[in-house]
Amino acid sequence: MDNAATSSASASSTRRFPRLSWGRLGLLGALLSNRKAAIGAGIITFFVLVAIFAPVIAPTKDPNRMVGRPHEAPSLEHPLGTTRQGQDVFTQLVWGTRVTLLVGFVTGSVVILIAVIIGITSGYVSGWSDEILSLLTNVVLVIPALPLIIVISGFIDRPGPMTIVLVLASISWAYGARVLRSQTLTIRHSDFVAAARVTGEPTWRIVLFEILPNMTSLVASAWIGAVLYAVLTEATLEFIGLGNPNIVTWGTILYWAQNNAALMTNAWWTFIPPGVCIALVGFALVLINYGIDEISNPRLRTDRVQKKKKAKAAV
Amino acid sequence: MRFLGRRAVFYLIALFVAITINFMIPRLMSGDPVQMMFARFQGRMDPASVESLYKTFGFVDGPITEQYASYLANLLQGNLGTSIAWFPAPVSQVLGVGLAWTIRLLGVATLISFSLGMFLGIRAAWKRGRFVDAFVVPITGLFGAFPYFWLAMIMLYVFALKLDWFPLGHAASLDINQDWTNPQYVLSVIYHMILPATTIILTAVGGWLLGMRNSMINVLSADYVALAQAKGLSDRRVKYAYAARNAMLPSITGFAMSLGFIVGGAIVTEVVFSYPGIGYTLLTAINARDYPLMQGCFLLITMAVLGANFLADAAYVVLDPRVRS
Amino acid sequence: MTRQPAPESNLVLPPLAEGEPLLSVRNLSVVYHTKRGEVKAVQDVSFDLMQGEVLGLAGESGCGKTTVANAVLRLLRYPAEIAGGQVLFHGLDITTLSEDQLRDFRWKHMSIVFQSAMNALNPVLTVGNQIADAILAHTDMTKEQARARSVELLEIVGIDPARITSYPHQLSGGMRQRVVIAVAMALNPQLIVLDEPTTALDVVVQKQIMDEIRRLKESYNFSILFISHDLSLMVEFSDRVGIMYAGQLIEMARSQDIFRGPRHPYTQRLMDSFPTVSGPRSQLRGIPGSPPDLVTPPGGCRFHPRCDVALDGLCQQVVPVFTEYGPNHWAACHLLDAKDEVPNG
Repeated sequence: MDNAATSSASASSTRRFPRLSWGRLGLLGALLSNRKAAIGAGIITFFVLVAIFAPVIAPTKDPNRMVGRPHEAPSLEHPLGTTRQGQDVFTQLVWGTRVTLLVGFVTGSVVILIAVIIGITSGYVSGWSDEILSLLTNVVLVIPALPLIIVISGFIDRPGPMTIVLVLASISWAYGARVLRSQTLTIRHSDFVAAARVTGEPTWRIVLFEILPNMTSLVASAWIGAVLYAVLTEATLEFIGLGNPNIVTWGTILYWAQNNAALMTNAWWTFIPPGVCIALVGFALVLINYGIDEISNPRLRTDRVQKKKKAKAAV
Repeated sequence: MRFLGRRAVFYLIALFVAITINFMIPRLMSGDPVQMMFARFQGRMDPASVESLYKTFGFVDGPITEQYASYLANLLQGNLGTSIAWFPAPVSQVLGVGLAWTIRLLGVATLISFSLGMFLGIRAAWKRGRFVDAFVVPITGLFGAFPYFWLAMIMLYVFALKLDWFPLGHAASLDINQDWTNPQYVLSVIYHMILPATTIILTAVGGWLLGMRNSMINVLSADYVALAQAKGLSDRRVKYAYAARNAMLPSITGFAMSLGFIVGGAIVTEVVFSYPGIGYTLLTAINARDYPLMQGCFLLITMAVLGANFLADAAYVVLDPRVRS
Repeated sequence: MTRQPAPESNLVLPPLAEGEPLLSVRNLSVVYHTKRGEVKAVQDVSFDLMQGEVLGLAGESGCGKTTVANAVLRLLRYPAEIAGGQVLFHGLDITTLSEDQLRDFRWKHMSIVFQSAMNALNPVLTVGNQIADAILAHTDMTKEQARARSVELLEIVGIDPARITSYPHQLSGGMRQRVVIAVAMALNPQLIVLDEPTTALDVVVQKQIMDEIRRLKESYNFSILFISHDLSLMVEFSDRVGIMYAGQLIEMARSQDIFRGPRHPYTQRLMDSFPTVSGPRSQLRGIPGSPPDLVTPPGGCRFHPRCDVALDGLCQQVVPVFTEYGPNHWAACHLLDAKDEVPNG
């Protein structure tokens, strides 16, 4: 604590790498005790439950079935009104949760898998293979993703959700890869990795059991970020008509709302609820990432004592 | 200067990759894009245009390497092909009009959101737990999680349709002659820009703000900030010349990625507001299955983004003496 | 960038009376607010520093010596806080100054050289600007005058004045530390606190810097509060040395007395654990155990859990009093009382 007086916070949060193993991992526990992350996790859990129990919650099995008159305002019978085609918006919203979350999480996971493989390989092997992988990463990072995705989807012509997953994943891994690469570089030079190498552990064991466990919070936050990106991009693609409009997702509900001039006809119930759902899921993911940030860098936290002190000091 | 030279080479490589992707895309699809377009526009397309379309995609007789060479040669002459949606206007001409509008809209929105994010980030870190830190950070974070197009729809619905404060779309009133020396026209352009720009600013500012806040918090515990305070410097000088100057650097490094997101957002914002920029052009191209125009949009957007990144690099050189040597 | 004018000085330092210390720290206590409770990082520390004197404070990492240094300049920031005591400079209690008064006072009368020269300079400003900033904040000088003064200061600390437009990354570690010293000397303060000024430097540069400081001290006649964990350097450089353990001052004496005849068992162990070039060859020994947790420090003498000569029933319960055992040789240890009593009784 020698320079503790002026920078006591830095003393406690110096980014050292205590050796972590899978067994002693407490990220999940730490996350749930962080207020922001807990709220975020709560919202996500709610939507996951809705997705799982969609058949129980939704009034009808087929979200595309016409059940009422066009553009009916919310009523007891149709709590969120009907679409221009007379479909029940609530039913669509519940069923849409499934596809939206599925595409989001699957894409996020594929993205992070690619990012982990490329990032760690690039950081662990040095020399020209690293040069090439970093160059590739940086190039993919700098080419604007959405226009490229739009052009590819345009050529594919009405891609289904799985195609969207593939296209998104193949273009969106670069950010995660770059972050993970630099972290790998740092960890690679730590004592415990050196020790493992001296004792002759095979590379895959070092990567899997020495390096990866020490990047959990980083991988987790990159994953959350990728899911958020996937949810938003999927919705965007569908909104501009590049998805399959017959598969009900939050994005396609908005596509139909826009196409049926919902704004002009004041049919707010067709475009407010799906947007709110997307925003809620997005905000929940952002909250979880705030939490992860605060856990891995305690300096970012604003605890109550500090608030009080600061308020007193800052006159 | 070595730094900028290296960056320039990198952007050229990136551009080359983008061009190659453009070359590959039509070859990965199942049908023949030219035949598909020809089928769609039967009667309006003469055989000569069909020929030139094949050239645009590099579909010439011969092995793929030869096709690639032909494609590159064609592109180097600035020939992006003929637009189908605006037939027979060349793609480059269609793009030229759109690009100007996009650069205006995006330039204004990026400049404002970046400055606002930096300013608020500095404030949030300087006064931890106070108003900006406790309220503005989470609220802009919430906006950052909104899909751009949805926020655009809400803005349009509330401020243009319900309250009737702003126009429903387009970049300027159609009743006024498009004349930049006419102040009425300029005012109309600004008036039409407010809603789409605000949408982009609202969704983009949170990212800049949070990044700056976190970076600033780290810098504030640096010894040189403690020394600056001990020296008796004014809070202002410590905050800006010592802390913020350093805390800004990561935001500028991260400009590339953020800009990618913002460009994506601008595209859909333009769609919602019928703003005649590149994004709107891209959507029109997609709906008309106008493949040359789609590819031209992608190429042009990429070039604009690479150019903006190079400007960010130049700013970095100005701000950080360590890369100058 | 506009500058605020230097705040109007409403501080008048009373002249030093004959024999009055320049700096007098009285019963200083500092706590850190942490989740686990209050860390009593410095407790009841008192010492005087005379004009022209070099006073050293030594001890293991975490003993509170740097905290004392920062408290003396009132540089502590939350979660650290002065919990009690006074810091008298020319008889004026610094702990009672308002923020504005402090901003005016600090650097004009008293400055500090931080541990790490690598981090103490702003990487994006030239060293000239960083020196001039201190001058401009406290005087009415114009920018040109401040620049001229910066050139002079660079010359004083032995740096080519052409370096005034250099950025920190263009200088070696030793040169950077010289710049930091120039910043500290900018307003000719009467007291400079040196907080481990040479930790990050190699031995040769370390020697050069310490020689330089000694030379500057002779020419410019400032006093020094010198913080270091390096006892041999400290004994060589300081007039008097205070030894701290677990937030308390446990021994203080003239350098040669500490060196030749340390009285406190902890100081004795500490001397044993340092090799000296000039001193007699002896077995190096560490001190078993580790410094106590300062949230709940041990009762009685804080060193008793690690002390191999602790007296049962006394050292655990009773806090030893800081007492003068020889000419100008103070220590806080029950054992010394016992020793004194034996020959007398």
